Amino acid sequence: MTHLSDGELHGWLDGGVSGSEAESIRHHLETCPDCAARLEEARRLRDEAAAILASAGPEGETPSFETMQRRARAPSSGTRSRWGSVQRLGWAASLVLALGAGWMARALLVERGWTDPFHQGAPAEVALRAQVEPVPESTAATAELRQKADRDAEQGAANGATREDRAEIVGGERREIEAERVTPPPEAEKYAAPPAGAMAARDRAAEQVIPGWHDLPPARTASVAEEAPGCYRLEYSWPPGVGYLPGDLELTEDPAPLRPGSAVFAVIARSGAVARLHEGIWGALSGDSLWVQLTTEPERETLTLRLGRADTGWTGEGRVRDSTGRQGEDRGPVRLVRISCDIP
Amino acid sequence: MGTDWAKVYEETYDELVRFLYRYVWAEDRAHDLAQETFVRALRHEPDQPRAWLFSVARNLARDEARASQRRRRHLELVRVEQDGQAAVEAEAEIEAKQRLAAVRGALETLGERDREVLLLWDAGLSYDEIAEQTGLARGAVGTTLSRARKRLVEAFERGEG
Repeated sequence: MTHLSDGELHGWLDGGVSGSEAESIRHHLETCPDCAARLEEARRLRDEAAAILASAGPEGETPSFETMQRRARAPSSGTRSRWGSVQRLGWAASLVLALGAGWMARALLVERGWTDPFHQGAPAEVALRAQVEPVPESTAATAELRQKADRDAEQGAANGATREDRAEIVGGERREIEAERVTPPPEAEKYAAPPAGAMAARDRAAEQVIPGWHDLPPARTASVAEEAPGCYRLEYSWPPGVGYLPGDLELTEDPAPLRPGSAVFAVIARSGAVARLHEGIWGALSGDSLWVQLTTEPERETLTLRLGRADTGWTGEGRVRDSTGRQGEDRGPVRLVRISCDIP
Repeated sequence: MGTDWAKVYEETYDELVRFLYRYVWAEDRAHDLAQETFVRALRHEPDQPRAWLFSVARNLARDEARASQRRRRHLELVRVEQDGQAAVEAEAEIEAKQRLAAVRGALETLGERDREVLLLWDAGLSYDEIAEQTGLARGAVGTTLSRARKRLVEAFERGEG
């Protein structure tokens, strides 16, 4: 007789198993004294854990719903300052990308198509031709767009919107920004909507899990060949985002959030040390490549980047694996730009 | 939208505070963040309010936890300098603080995923909701919870002992 697992026992206790499964577990418990005894142990554990947590519970009064409604109607809320600064950073980068990504994508589309760059040649050979310049972010239009994207990102994340849905939103906004600021090159349209053939190839790729793409190379636990201290900004294009890549443990507590389109991650690139700093964030130097793997929240998409050296810094492309573990689409050009460590 | 937000608020606010508190360990901040989460929800009116609320709260909590970790280091330095002051605190207050520290310490021994699942369960989410929130298979929620509970209890007992 196969005994019940701990998970089944806890699931049964918590009412977390379906009807037929619950019936089968109940039947097993009636006939198996061992599992019945383990059930009591599981119950003790559950109650004890609940008591431990309850002993550290918060108190305080619940503000009225009307108070909350008034706050929601107010122009902005008081706890957003840090988010605001982070969002400004994210938007500064996304605006940069809005202007630059089209050109970068164009270079890739024209020169290499939508094929797998890692199987075609070294990412370091990617030619970055974009003349990327920071865009002033203080206009009312920019602020409005930023707020809209914030809403879209949150809604998209929690409403189960597909990546394609958000891509349309992002793509739409990208065009909107460009329309206001510069005359968009016609090639930029290709970035928002890749050629039909390329899409088909990507769809096929999405059904395949290619070993190695989403896993860092074996060398990740050793062979870190060099030190790369300093702070970097990661620029990637879909969705627009920005991250800091500090080479110093001290900076890993940077408060900037992991959120869709704006990932902050940390890599320890000291000699012989590659550290997993927290869930979903890895980095490793392997040979000439810098591998970074991070998970966006709350979508739990895993983004793997393989970056090679270029004149402009580390650059390359990334691919995404969604929460179902399937191979996803290319994330488009990414690059790391060394910045001052005075992170706001 | 057909969401009765007053009802969602009534049913979820305390759960959110409890969830947030065990990330940020400061009551006022937990309330602040819960309110911030609701303010955003009222502005955005998501279709799946509960999932949305916990999703946003989790992100806010993680950001806050990182920031408070940094602040804590400073506070610990300050505390060493003001050590004498502790002697005048009421005994009960000290005990409460010690217990809080023990719970916190025990929770921090858990892996991030285990802790999240445990706290979501403790906040009142169902297995289905936890699975949706974390990306775990529904069948894996019980396994994760059993492991998390065991580790929490063991770590707490070690800390107390």
